[in-house]
Amino acid sequence: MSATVKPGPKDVLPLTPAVFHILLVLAEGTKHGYAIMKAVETLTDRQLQLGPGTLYGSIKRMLTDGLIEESEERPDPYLDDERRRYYRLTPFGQQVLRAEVERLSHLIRFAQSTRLLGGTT
Amino acid sequence: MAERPDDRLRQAIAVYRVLLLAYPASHRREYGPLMLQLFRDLWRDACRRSGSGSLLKLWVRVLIDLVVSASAAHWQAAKEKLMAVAHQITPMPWRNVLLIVAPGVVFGLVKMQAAAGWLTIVTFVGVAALAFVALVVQKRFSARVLLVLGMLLSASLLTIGFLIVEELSSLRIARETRHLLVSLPLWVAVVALGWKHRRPQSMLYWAFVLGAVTAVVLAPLTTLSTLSIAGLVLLPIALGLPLSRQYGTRTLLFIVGSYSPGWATWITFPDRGCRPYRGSQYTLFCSSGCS
Repeated sequence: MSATVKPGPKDVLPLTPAVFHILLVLAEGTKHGYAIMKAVETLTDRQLQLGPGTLYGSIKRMLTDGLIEESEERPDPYLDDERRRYYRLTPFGQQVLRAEVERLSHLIRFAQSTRLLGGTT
Repeated sequence: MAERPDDRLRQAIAVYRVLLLAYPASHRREYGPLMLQLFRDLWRDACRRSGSGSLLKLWVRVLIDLVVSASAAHWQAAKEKLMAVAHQITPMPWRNVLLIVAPGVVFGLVKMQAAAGWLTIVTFVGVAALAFVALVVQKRFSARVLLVLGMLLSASLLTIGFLIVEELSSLRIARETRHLLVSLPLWVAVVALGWKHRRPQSMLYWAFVLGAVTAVVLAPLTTLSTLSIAGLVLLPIALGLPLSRQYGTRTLLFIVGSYSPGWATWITFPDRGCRPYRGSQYTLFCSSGCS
């Protein structure tokens, strides 16, 4: 019988910019699609503007990969539209986000150390 | 009368709803209402920022997003479909692999021994390499490959049969005896395969039985050459019996593929005009009609 090997956090790296930013804004807490889109725009100073197709395409892949999950928790029932779906990070999603941040930090440290960016090496 | 903002929103949503048809149906069912909701929110945002420039920017953004994400969604859906098919198909048993590959190997060896041209050798090596990759390394393949396998098998078998008949004719053996020497092992193989893989619940099995019984009953009324052709016609069905356990009705692709070289020759040379090609690499595509 063949057993399916579960991927580790580093197996799904590098992340696409859309997936990375969605994970990053969901690290702050549960959000619905529109809130994710707005948070990404604010975070990147409108440099990354996700369209509806890209946002839900990424969400679909992230749900399949187990990076995020749908949440039943509604932040404010009075302000809420019940047709909206809320998403939150899974523990695996948190591990992946941490691994991606470490990978990018390592790259930035390397880039800063090169002469190109005024480093000493 | 000036258009109200609500009317424009309704029209825009109607247009976006049509544009959503660009996505795969499964994606649309799952995320279509959410994407419409998001589009509505973006539209209201753009209206708040005021000016037709904001709405124009929104449409440009949405259209670019649509092209990119719909293509990605279709690619993803196709990939998932292929993966699902690959997981459904269980590895092919080794004996069946050999059954399909062996005639091609024999054909290649015969052609090489007869000092065949480089084109034949290159073709054979290419086909053998493909068969190796498809069958031995991967051991699982899409049902569509059955069509190609059927064609290769049939072309190889017909060529081998043709070469044997040609060799026998040089030994000055009577025509009827030649056909008996070819059709006898052919029928033994057909009956053995049919017996070994008998499956009363399979339609293909009953088609095979019906064909075999008809050929045997009509045998006294026909010539031996007709009987050998009937054997050739039944052989792909007999070979399809073990395949049908794994591929079900898709085995018909194998059988259609097996008959296609014969049909192609019949259509191309209705007056059996392929005799001039005898001995060249074109014999690969000659049917039993040449003999």
